[in-house]
Amino acid sequence: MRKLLFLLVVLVLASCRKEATTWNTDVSVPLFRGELMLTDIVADSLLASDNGGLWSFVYAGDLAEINYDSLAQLPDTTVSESFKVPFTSGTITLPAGTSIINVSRDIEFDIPNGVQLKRVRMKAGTLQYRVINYISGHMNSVFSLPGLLNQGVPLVINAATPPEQSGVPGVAEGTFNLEDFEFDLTGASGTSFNRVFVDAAVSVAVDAPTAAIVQGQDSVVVELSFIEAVVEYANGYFGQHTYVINEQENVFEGVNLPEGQLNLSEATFLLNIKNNIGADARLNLNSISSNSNNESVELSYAPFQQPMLLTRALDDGWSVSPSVLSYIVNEGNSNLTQWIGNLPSEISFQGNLQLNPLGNISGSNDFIYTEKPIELDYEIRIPLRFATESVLLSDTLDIQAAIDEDFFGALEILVTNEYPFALGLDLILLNTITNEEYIVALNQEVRAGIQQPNSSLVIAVESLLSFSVNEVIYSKLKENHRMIIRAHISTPNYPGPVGLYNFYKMTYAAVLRGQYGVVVQ
Amino acid sequence: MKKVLGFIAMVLLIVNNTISQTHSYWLLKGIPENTKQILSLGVEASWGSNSLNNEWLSEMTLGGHIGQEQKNLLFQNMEDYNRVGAAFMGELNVYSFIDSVFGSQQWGLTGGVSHVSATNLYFGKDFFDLVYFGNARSAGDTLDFGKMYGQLQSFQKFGIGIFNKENLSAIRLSYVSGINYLNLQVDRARWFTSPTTGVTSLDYDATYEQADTTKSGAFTSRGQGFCIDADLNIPMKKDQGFFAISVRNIGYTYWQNSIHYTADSVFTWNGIEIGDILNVSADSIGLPAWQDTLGIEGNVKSKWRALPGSIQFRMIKKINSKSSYEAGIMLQPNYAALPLVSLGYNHFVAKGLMLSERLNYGGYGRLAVGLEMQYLLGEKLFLRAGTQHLWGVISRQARGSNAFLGLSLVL
Repeated sequence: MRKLLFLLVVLVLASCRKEATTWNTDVSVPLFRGELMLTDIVADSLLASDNGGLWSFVYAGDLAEINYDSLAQLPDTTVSESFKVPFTSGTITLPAGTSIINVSRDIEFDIPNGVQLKRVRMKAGTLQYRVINYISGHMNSVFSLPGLLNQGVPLVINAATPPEQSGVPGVAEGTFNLEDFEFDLTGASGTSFNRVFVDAAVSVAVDAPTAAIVQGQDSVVVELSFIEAVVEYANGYFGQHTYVINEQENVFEGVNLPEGQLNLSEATFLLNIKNNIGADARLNLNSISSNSNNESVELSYAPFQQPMLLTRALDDGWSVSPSVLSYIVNEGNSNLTQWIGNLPSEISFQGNLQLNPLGNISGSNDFIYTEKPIELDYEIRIPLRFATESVLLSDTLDIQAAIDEDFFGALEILVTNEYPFALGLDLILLNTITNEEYIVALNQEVRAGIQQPNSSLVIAVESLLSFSVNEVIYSKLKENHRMIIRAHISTPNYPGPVGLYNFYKMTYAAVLRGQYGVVVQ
Repeated sequence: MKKVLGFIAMVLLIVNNTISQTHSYWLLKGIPENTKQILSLGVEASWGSNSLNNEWLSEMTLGGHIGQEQKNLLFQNMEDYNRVGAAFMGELNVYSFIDSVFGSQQWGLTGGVSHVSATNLYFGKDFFDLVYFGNARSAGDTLDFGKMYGQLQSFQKFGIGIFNKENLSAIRLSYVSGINYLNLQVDRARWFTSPTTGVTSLDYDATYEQADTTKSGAFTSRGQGFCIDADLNIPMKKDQGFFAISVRNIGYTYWQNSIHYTADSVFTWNGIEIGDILNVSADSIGLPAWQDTLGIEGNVKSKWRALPGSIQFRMIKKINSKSSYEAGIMLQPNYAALPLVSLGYNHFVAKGLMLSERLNYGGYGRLAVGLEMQYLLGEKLFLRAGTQHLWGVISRQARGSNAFLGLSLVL
């Protein structure tokens, strides 16, 4: 019986062991597909097409890195004004409700850089007030500021302060949100600047429990603090300022344009200057240079050699009409071809911008909407017409993925090419240790689309590429190999240029055809 | 008494649709007068197909390579629609001859436990073509799988019932512990491969169910149910033989938390869409969410499902004192099984040794020859063993196989 049991156990264990079941199938499996367009090679932001669809390489930049805040800035500041009782010595006792101080005057702001502001509209900020009572009695202070309008209503600060006791003054304080406030900074005269009119009235509180004991030189002080004030609009005279322009822009960065002959004759350099400020300005561009590793080329264009006067913008109360200067630099009016042909990695701008170069000629009617300052921007546009002959593009792939070695056959890629140039593709495995190369495929041709005479239209042409997949490739890939993909590009009728249009594309569909070994564990 | 026992033996030859469930002829012919109980153990394994052979089954279950020549041979011999099925049954029963039921000495109690695993598949020739040959050779044509049905059920029964001591008519009610359940029903499936681009499309309408997948373990219970097994034996006049009707596994199992998938859609695959091939990486390749893409709707439900039952009609008739013949038909209500028709001849060849030869046609397979031996070992142990598919035991090219073993111990 024991032998029988042993035999049974052996049989059960043996039955649990199972080899894999395998068989081979002939498969045809779509693997991947897609389109290849110029926008896959060059970032969308660097491309633009014209009405005919011709792609241009475009690099645009903004030079207006000028700090205009100083023109319309209310720095964090505290102004303090003391209002004294109208006698200098002695002590008097005043009953509740008795008026002590009734004075009007301007409070002046210290605005830097010689800026003389007459009107300001606020976007944000806080006005903090503090009323300090040095009188021994309950006081009621009313400060009217008719130049500070909140939704059109003058600001009035009402402060009930406790009496001064043992040398410690009574204090009342509070805050106002300055959003949408409008400031009239012309003071009591209505013609001045950087000052606000205030009318102060201090009296013994009507409900004071005791009479106030007032001594000569007693006073009530009001402190107004402007905190994180942001100006939306300002009017006045902004003074004379000079802003230095010293900008370096990296261009062609991350762009892998193929070597060959790029037709630069239609390239343009566009400089736009838009003055949204109600103040005159003068722009001096001393230097615009294209810098490559080896060379620096100055852009030579006559209008840039002299100061460019920007007249002030006009404000009709509803909208601002800026003054605009545009300069189109091209091969015909400059050395632009040489400047771009330098293939710069950096463009350098040197110069300055002078504000109010002629002084206060507007009668203190400069204005600025702070969200619309002076704009200086440029654009380099190179229409993509090029010619190339066997120019090589190369990329190396790290094959790190787990490889399923159960397939043997071919990877077939059907390419439909609408571009008017041909590609020869090489696939090479490179052993990174021994530098041994194994050629998977050499010069598999993607034929050029057929360009129609005198037209940008191209008839698409199909090419079938086939890449072998076998044991050798599997073993090579496992031996620390990398895959090198090389593409040789040739345009027809070299050196005649071909244009790249936005309706050209190359589509591909890859299919695995061969024998797949099915394994069932 | 001998006449009674001989009658019983004859009945047992015909009433059971799986041979291993029957007792030895010699056991019943020579049962001692004082027998109180009989312990009966039966085991049977079988499979059959009208197109697939033992070599294929061996390689699919035990491993190995299925070569091109073998695939071609199977494919050439296939019909448009094909059948394959398999079953395993193991059973331990107790028959008590000392009890009386309903005050009658003619009725006794019987009880037992058993394990049943049964599976079947009905499939089109094109399905085999796709699975074993791939889609390349049918590029440009549509592979039409037609209707396809498959099922697997595995369960255990714990039953108790009564039997008639004279003719062994019996009825047994069992509690069913469901272990596993898979069911596939494909009402429409067509596969097309483009000869040029390899674009593949599948047009399908299918349902798939599977017992609770959150539970692990080969014998974990995933459902409960009940079933009835019954035998009705009608003797012929003058002790010439019997007519018999038997039903097995008539019942249901409530499969808890089983998953149900349905899909009725057209799926087209033309490769992974690559946005930017120059900067492709594993992260940038987006495989589709297959369940959504394939239009599969899934949910978890608890449902009653019928057990793989059967009904059998058989007749056995004496030729003389040493031989008899038998005929029968068995019906299994599933798509893959044809009615199984059998003819048999039983005869005694030596003292204590009886042989039976049978011809079977239908079920999951084709024509098969069966051979059975019943032998008396001593006075207490009785053995029967054999096969319903003799060729299948010998040849790897046979389309099915069967083996059974029965042991009975008299107490």
